[in-house]
Amino acid sequence: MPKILYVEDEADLREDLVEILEEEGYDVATASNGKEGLSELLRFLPDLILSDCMMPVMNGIEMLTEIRQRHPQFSSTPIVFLSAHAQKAHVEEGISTGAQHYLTKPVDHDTLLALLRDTLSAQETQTGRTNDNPAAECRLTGSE
Amino acid sequence: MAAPGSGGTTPKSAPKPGSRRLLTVSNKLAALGALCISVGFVFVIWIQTDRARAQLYEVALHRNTHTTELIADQLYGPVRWRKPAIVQQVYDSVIANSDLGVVAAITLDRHDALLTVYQKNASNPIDISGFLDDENADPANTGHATTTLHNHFVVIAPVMSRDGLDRAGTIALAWDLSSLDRMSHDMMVQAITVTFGLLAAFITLSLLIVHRYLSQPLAQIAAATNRIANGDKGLEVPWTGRKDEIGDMARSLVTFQENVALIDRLTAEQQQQTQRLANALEKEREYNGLHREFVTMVSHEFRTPVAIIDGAAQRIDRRIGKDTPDQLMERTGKIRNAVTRMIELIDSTLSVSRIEAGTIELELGECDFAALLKDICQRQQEISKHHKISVTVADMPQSIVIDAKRMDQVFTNLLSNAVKYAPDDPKIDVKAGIIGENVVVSVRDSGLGIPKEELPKLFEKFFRASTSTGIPGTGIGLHLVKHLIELHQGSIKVDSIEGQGTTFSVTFPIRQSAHEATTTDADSRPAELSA
Repeated sequence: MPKILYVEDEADLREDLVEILEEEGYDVATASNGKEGLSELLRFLPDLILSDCMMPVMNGIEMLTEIRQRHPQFSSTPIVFLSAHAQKAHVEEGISTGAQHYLTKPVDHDTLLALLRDTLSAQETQTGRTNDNPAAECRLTGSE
Repeated sequence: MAAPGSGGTTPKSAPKPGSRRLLTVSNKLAALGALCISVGFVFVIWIQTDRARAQLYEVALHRNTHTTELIADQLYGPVRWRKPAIVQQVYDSVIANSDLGVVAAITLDRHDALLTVYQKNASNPIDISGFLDDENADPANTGHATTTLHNHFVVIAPVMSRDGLDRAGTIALAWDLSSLDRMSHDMMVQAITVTFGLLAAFITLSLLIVHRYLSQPLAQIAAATNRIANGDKGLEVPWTGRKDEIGDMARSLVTFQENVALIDRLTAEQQQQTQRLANALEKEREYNGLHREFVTMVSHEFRTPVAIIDGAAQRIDRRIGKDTPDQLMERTGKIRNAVTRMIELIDSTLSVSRIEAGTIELELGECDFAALLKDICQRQQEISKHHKISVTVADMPQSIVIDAKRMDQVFTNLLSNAVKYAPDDPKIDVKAGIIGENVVVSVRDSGLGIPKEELPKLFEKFFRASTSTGIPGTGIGLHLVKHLIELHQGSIKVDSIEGQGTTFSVTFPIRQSAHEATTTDADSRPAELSA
């Protein structure tokens, strides 16, 4: 089963989405801010990160920057932002930092699930071609 | 004057006039005058001395000639009878009379043979006979003659017979001319001394006058110009009362000084104006930035509860017939909480526009403040399960007169801030009590804190402390809180240490009688909120 790390500070939102993701069969870990997200990332080794942007302690953009700079083993792990900031500038900032997708709240659950599915399968095809990434290997073993 | 830093010309400081300079205009003039006058005086003295000497010479000549003639008269007998002893006697008496100044004398007979010679100073004899070879000295032709010989003045006179027709002999007397020369020399020295003494006095006086009335005023005006050029606005320019060119110059300088002051004032005013505009622009920019941030945050703050409501609704929709009643209740609970959040946000946003419009009015009523505060804390505790909110209320009257709805807004804001800005520090203390005639409530957290330099701006509209980065918020809550407390004649203050926590203290006066209330239905509000 693919593993998804979900980082969100709003507990009510987090609970709903965890339910949906688990119903869909994903292995889900959660964190309530970017800092917790980083430690969960190293422990959980997810195939995809779904994250809010605006969070206390460390926001989603900072977390992504940290991953891209300090943890090269996750350089190909896709990240999807799900944020209540809907302005163009925020979307551009998220994408330019290295996120695959930037979704705005509120989000349609079916749309979100389809997008996660597509992103993960695209990722699998890509890592299948270049199977020299230790993170990717971990992910493959984890998914079997 | 160009503004500093404009890249143009910077004001030069005026050259400093030497206070003790030798080559002043007056000194130069005095030196030139002294030179001209000295040359003139030397010339005049020289001419005058020469003329005086000639006069002295004339007088002496006249006197000596007369004296010689008198002696010649006395000597007729002795010469005729060749009695040198008598001649010697006469000469002795003549020479002894120092007033006459005779230094040598000779007598000749009628054949011009030497009869007697007399020298006053034997060691330095005067050779009178040599002189007699001179053609001018022929007493036969001239009767008597004069000449100068070796700085001596010689008078020759015939010794005539009684009838005056026959020449019995000749006498020649020599006078020392050095006394005459000495006299004229003394005169010249005296004249020069007096002249140069007077000249020195004249020059000194002229210098003093020139210095006092020309040089000094010029130097003072130059110094005043210099000080004005260097920015001395209050300087009183000297010599403005004079009616000559110096006065004109001083009055022109006063005009110049006034113009400088005017230019300075205009420049300063312009700079102030520029500064005011720059400040206003800076404030406007800051406000615009804050406002943009506010709009962004308001959008975020609305979207978050909307997302919660939408998420819950989608779940209910998908799980129709599968959810248990408890699960359903949980979902509707989330929806209701999200709705409350939105209403609070709408309320505070609207309140801020009402503050701007000045249309907020309190709806005062009697209220159990202790119960209200506990209720607010309890509500916040239910929302923030990670935090531990402790409430202590002491000595609170059963009922005080406040606008319960607005007070609810105040403390809900302060508590939600305490929770929000202390994400990792669960302990929050709320203490309420009475100090004098006032209710004092403090809300303390051990969270992020606020940088000291940002504290004065904390209650400004849209302002958010730099430590709030990443934490949702609109920057209007504290602005609203301060305004609502001030409507209750109270005040709010904040103490904070960055990284250690923040304490807000609210103070407002107790009003216990209901007759101050503007409405009566406000009484039921706390009950309504706690429901």
